Amino acid sequence: VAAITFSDVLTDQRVSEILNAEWLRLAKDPNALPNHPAIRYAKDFAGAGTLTLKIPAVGFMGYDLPDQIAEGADVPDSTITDSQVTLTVARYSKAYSPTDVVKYTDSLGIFNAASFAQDAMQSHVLKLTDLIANVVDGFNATAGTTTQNLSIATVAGAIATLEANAHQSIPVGMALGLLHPDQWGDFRTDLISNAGGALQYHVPAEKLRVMGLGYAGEFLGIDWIVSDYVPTANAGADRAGAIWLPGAVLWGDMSQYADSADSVVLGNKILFERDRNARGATTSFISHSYLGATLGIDSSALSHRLGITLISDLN
Amino acid sequence: VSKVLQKSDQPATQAKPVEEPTGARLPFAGLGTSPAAVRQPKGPPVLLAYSPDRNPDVFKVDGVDRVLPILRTVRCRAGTNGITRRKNGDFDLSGLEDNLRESGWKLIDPTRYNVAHEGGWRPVWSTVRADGRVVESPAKYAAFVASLVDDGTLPPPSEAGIERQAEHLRAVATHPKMVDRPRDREKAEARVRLLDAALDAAGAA
Repeated sequence: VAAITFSDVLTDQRVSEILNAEWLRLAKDPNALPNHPAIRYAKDFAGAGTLTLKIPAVGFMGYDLPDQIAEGADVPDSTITDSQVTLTVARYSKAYSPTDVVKYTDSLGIFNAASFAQDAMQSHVLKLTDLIANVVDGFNATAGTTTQNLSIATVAGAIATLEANAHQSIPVGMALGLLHPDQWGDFRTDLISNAGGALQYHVPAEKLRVMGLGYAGEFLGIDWIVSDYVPTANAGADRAGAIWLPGAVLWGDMSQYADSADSVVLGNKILFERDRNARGATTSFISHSYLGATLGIDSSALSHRLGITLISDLN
Repeated sequence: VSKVLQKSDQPATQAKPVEEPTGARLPFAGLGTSPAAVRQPKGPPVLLAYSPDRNPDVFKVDGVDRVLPILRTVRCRAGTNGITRRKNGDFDLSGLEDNLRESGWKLIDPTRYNVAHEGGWRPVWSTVRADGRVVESPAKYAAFVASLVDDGTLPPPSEAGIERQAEHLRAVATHPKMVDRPRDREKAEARVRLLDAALDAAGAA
């Protein structure tokens, strides 16, 4: 990573007419996925001895029902239905290296350790959002059709398919819907026309505090999250959001510890370090996390699928 | 109806791959590729997977509507879907293959659709603009998917899958409020007709 030198910022951020105490955050989706039952935390890899683990899915707690056995007959052993998912975590890192000149002349108050630490915190959390958004486009089941706007009819069909595949109705608050802003815009427009103006969009403040600013409300029993991290599909013709239930998406991370004076662990998961290059008069602010996400139960063999991918026009 | 393409109906319109891969080694481990080293690609290769259980859809190939599988795009990112990265930069896909197999997917040979590009990779359905940007073309992608069906790499969409998608789109097209969205309704209706015709053709075959 190249150092952030004064010449980098001299011509655009340090000209006199924009020397100001205020600065604007560049407009990219800043909202991470919330803690939600549908996003299953599977493993802290600290002490696991590996970065790859198989997570078993076991048909306990009523998955297989008892057979009727004739009077006097021996009951045969039941076979436990099972499946497995491979979950891996990988290192994700970033580093900024401002020179002393940049730090000392900083009029905005942002080229300092506190700001870089805040940036690291948000960046790594958003990376997890990015990873999850980039796996949920891969469910076996799909709803929607290429180059057509997402509609309430499509979503209603998707929910019906999901309920059939999951062999259960969707409990309110247990399913998560993740849509790209393109998809949400089309869906909302269709909702408005269907509701004839009767449907008002108001997310209670207390739910926003819990779910984050990407939360678009609960509708049809599903918590809807809008995220720019939802990927394209069909070579850029479409977007691929998803709806899923607990068990359909698994994620893991790794707790870290600091063992040097210039290191600190943020939230137990992000190692934030300062590395001084005295000869070059630069200070690097480096962060590392270990993250991974994968699809969980989406089994064709067991005919048991807990998620559905929503294909619709990219706009 | 005559424009509905099944392989057996119109062999004369078989699509061809849009660009020939160069044969350069991809930075994967666990797939039996050659040991030649490719380190830290700028743009990681793309991976495609096929599932017979996924509904097909209607795509336009060379101006003709065809019923084709919706493939899954797996992005090469360590930490997702069981993918790991080795110290030399190679992606280890063994965990991914386990996951795909467990959920009914088959990885399509990535050497068929990735071409080397400026130290990284780009898919054969992409083009490079004058400013160096790599842009994917949905039309070329559809042609590529069609070529996979035509050359037998992928089976043609199953009757069950076509029926599921037709049923889904029929529900969308006949939703009462779709009258307010004539363009989307017409598109859905047209696709239902094409899927029904494909179903008839598959049944007749």
